[in-house]
Amino acid sequence: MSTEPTPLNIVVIGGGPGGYTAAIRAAQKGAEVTLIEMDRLGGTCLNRGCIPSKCMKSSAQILEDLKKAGTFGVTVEGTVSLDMAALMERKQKVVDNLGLGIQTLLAHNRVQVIRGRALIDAQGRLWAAMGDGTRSEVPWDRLIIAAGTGPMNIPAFPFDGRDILSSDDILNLDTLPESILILGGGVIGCEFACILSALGAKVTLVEAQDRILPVPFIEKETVKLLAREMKKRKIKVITGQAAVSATPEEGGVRVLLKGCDRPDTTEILAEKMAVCVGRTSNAPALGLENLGLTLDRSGWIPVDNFMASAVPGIYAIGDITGPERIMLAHVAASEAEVAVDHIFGMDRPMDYGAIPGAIFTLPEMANVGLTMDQALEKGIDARTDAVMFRTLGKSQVIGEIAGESRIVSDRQSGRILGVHIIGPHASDLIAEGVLAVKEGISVAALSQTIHAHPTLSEIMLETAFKACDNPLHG
Amino acid sequence: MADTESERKETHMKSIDELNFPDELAYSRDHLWARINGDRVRIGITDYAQDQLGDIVYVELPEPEDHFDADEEFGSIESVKTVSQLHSPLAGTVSAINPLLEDEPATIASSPYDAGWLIEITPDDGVEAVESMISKASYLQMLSD
Repeated sequence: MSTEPTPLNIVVIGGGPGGYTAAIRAAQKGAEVTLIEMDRLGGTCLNRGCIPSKCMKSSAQILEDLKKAGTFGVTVEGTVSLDMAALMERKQKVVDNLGLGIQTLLAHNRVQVIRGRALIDAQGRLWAAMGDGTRSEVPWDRLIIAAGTGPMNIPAFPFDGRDILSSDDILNLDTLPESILILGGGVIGCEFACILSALGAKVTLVEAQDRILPVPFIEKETVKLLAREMKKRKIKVITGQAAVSATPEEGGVRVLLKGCDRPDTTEILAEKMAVCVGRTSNAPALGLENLGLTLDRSGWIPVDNFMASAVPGIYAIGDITGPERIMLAHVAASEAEVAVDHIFGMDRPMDYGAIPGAIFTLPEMANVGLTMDQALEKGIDARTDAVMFRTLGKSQVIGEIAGESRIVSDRQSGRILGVHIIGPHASDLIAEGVLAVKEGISVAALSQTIHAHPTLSEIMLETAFKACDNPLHG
Repeated sequence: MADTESERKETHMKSIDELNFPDELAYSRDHLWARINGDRVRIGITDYAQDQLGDIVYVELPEPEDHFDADEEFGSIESVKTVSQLHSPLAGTVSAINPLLEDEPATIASSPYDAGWLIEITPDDGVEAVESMISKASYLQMLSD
């Protein structure tokens, strides 16, 4: 590919983790960069996703810890209770500070930020429509679309912000509902089920498929453990049924569920209902048809592994490329690097082989690589070995004994194909697994790597021992 | 989770002659016992099993009306040391589950054959199916092997 004359005029649509990473990387490479954001910098991740939900989880964790403080010899005088307004105030403060941080980073890298809605007009030109009704023209040589997604609405019972809530609404609750029905047992639904239950709400979680987290890259054995932990927390889980109607009435929402493969029905009355059934693309509103760029059936922007769309000079990254490309903030950021590299003549394809997933349920879950089923489907002679956290000293010390770490490995070579963890700090522990999968590390090599004691990281060592038919504590 | 008022368990596990095994019960190789109760069969874990488990923190039980084949997993018992799956000794439908165990799982340790029962089932082949289980003598023989 011939080297383009610099400075290139690069416009990034969307200031979320994909967009702002792309803008900074492009500016660092010498381009003139403009970032257009119609709402707040940081996108879904910072404002309506990762960060605020983890703020809620942190508060829930503290509530839980204080409730068992007595067991640890710590006496708490008076009642321990939730102040939702204070929780949300803290959440907003964290979000605002991080948003300011992104703003500073962009300014430091000389990225021009326009607050407006991007409307693509023709090749090389788009309009930024501002809040005050004015429009400004924004020329571009290269376009990186990182406009993301929004919560999926079910037309039969659309979001009303009062009785029927989206994930956005849950992150802005002013009081904790006494009871809530969460429709959708995917990652978001499961996280909220655990968080809201820990905060004190009575939670019913409904999933249309036959198990919660019905996602192929999530190990089914790990899901069984999560299901048990939810049962312990008295979260009522209903699988195999979907909502046919949700009618607000005095005191709450009356929801009628119907079996997907069976004729059974269930009626549930809850104070609120949350619908967490997926995300919808923001691509249709962008005017991409003016460039001859066709979206796929579901509204996602098709791209190749360099994040390039069918129209030369136009790239798409992050959620807007759809679920096939894994809708996670860190994937968007990585795709941003790939897209920018490609613009500057470096053909480095995006590697989806070792992408960690972290699910902030209670306990946490994390995964990378193949599940046992996936490995077998690929015809790999695989084995799976698991060790329970409760065999670790640190786990017993902190009083968080539920969970296990599971390694899927190649029976012949010992190569680690997948790591699946449920338990304390799983989201942090998975990093070692990601490195192992990415670098093709074997269970033998992992078993010969010293892990500090007493730490939770020893779970990886113990699982590696087991996978070498040499178990110690596990 | 951990019951702050429970007695500190002895750190060593008991030997077989220190444990109880009522004569009139049927046993299984998975350390379950069965007692006929009218047209139903009450099931629990043996004194040996609860002793091996250590401090029990949670019991995962099925719902009434759930059906299980023989040897099918119907629940689990979680202790501080480990998690043990429970396999049904008989094919049947759950008619009752012990309500005590939700908040007092340690009842299994103090009374494994009475107050600490787990589930009651209506066997597919009637209560005579209990005859397919093993005797106390066979169970003790298995333990000492």
